Amino acid sequence: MAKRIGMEVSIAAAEAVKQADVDVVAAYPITPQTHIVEKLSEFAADGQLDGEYVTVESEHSAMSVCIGSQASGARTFTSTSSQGLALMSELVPIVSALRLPLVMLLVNRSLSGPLSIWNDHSDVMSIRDSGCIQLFVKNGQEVYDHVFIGYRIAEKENVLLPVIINMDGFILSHTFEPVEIMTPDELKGYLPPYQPKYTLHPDHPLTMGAYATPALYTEAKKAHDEVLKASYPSILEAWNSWGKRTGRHYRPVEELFCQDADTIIVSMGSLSETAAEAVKLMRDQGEKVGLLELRLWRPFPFEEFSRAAAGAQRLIVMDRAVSSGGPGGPVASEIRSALYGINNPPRVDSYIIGLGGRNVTIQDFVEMVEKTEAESALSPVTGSTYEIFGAREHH
Amino acid sequence: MLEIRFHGRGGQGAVTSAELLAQAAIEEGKYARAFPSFGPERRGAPVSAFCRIDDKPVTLRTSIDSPDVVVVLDPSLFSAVDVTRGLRKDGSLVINTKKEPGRFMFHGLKQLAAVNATQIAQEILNRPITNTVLLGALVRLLPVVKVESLISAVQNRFSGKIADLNVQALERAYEEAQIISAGDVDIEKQVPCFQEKEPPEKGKEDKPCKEDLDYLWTELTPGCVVQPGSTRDNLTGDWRSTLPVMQKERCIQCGLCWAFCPDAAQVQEPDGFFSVDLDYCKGCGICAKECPTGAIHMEKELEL
Repeated sequence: MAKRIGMEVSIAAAEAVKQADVDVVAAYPITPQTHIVEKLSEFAADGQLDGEYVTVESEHSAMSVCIGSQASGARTFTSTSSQGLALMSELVPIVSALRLPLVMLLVNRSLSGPLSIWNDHSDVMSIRDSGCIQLFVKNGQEVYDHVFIGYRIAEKENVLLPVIINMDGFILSHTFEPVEIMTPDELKGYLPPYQPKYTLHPDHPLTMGAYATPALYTEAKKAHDEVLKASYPSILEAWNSWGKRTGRHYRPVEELFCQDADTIIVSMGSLSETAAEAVKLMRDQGEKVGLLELRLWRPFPFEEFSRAAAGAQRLIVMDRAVSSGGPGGPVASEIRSALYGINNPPRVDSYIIGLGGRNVTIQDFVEMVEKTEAESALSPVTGSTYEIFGAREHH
Repeated sequence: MLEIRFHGRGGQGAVTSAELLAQAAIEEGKYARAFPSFGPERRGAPVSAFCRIDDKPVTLRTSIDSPDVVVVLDPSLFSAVDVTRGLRKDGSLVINTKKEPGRFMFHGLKQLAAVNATQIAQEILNRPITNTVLLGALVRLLPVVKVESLISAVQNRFSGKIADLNVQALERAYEEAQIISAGDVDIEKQVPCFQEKEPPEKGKEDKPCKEDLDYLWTELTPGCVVQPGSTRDNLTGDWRSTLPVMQKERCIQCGLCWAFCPDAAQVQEPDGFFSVDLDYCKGCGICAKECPTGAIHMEKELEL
């Protein structure tokens, strides 16, 4: 078993990128992603990273470089946050449509305005439909592990899609905690050398990124959509194979006390760890509460989710982003869709929490559960559209 | 509802034709819609435009695939574009030609109007913009709208002398259009003008005749990567409205036409002179511009 080493999660992420034999890193520093790319640039300068660190003038350029280097057959990494993602977002659907297996660590931070450097999920929700595989991780170990897992998924010949790993800004990126760092021997064979199907090379000319007329665009989108949905078994395979190697097993949906729970909290990302503590506390007090952690966001694991959630009377869905004027938080909306049509579906309550770095405590979870249970006693069927939880209304 | 499809080349006013016709119908209290085939616009490239006219509100927004009437503004399009595609049985055809109109009759066509629109446009407008000319022939064949309504639409659209000349062109076409009905011609006794495409010449079999991209989604490469040589599939020759013509006696075989041609459409023959590959020549005129001895000049594309 590898040794647990105390380190900042951002440094663990950079370590993983180095160990994953990445050829090119192109990134522009932005809080709270900064420590990852600073460390990678150090690795490159010290010769520890056997690859190029390309300094760019913006995130738009960062992703452009990534597309170019990935198209030339180089294993490529980038990382950004918030406004950086917004600036890069023109290229995000392109990197996926070109089927380039980039891995990106998205260090989640709220979108301005008001200007906020702190954590929430408004950045990732803006690229929800970009056709990339998207995962959420909840601690330093998962960040480290998923860099390798990400490349294994992305580079599979029947996948060839970018993988975006979401890690909460500050809450994960700036936390010092123990992480098991793998030895080269332990990693050996997990990540075979990247063998792209098509590369840009003067000796073998071809065109990437040609335009599609109305006669072709629909077929291109259909092919992209099908491959994204069909990536599911490859994602499971990458997790299973990692689990066998490390003893750390991952699933699209992680369950805690869900089997007999009346009320299930649904969360993504680092929130899940505090939520787990809250659930254990409520269980100790005799409450039949469970936790359902959504790790895989795209492709959405409809079947596994429905199976895990179907027995509950109430789902309390945590969203770290607002879909203003919409049918609920982005996650809650999808979950309502996922459950549509099943017999006796649970009531779904949508809570928006932890916006712009607002702390979320065990007590918050307890309050949300109590509030939902009280309200559902009056109306067991429908939950509230959504509620921005904890917004002050009185002094 | 009457559905009319216009075929022209970018710059000839096919879209304006459709709009003028719709405008005339709307002026008469009818309902109409006109719109172009959407996409990038290139002068000289084949374009189509659509017009629907009805007594009740027109709600369809789809392009017209089964027209009642097809109007062809440019004679060079007969060979470049499948202009009669989807034309309804007993449909009508309005064409710009200087040839004997009977040869354009075919089984299933009810009637056609033919007019030498290029000549009329040249003589009256001093340029080959044939849109208002063809409208004159159209209303002569089918009283879709009154001639006065069309004239009023032209006068609203253009001003001053341009309006007057277009009205003149329209009226002349109305007078000169030759009307042929099914039965006027013995179709069996003529070489049909509209027929299936001939197979490619020997040695040119690798040039696909496919007009539309009809790939299945399962046939696309990951990321829609396009393999080399794809420009071979893209027969840009149908964009051409002018044609380079060589005078061998002036050619010094310097090869500048070959070097500057953006489509590699200049081909050196065994005798050292150059010829044009009509499948790809877009008629841009760069070869004529670059030729140092003036051996190449551009001529208007002929009716094939």
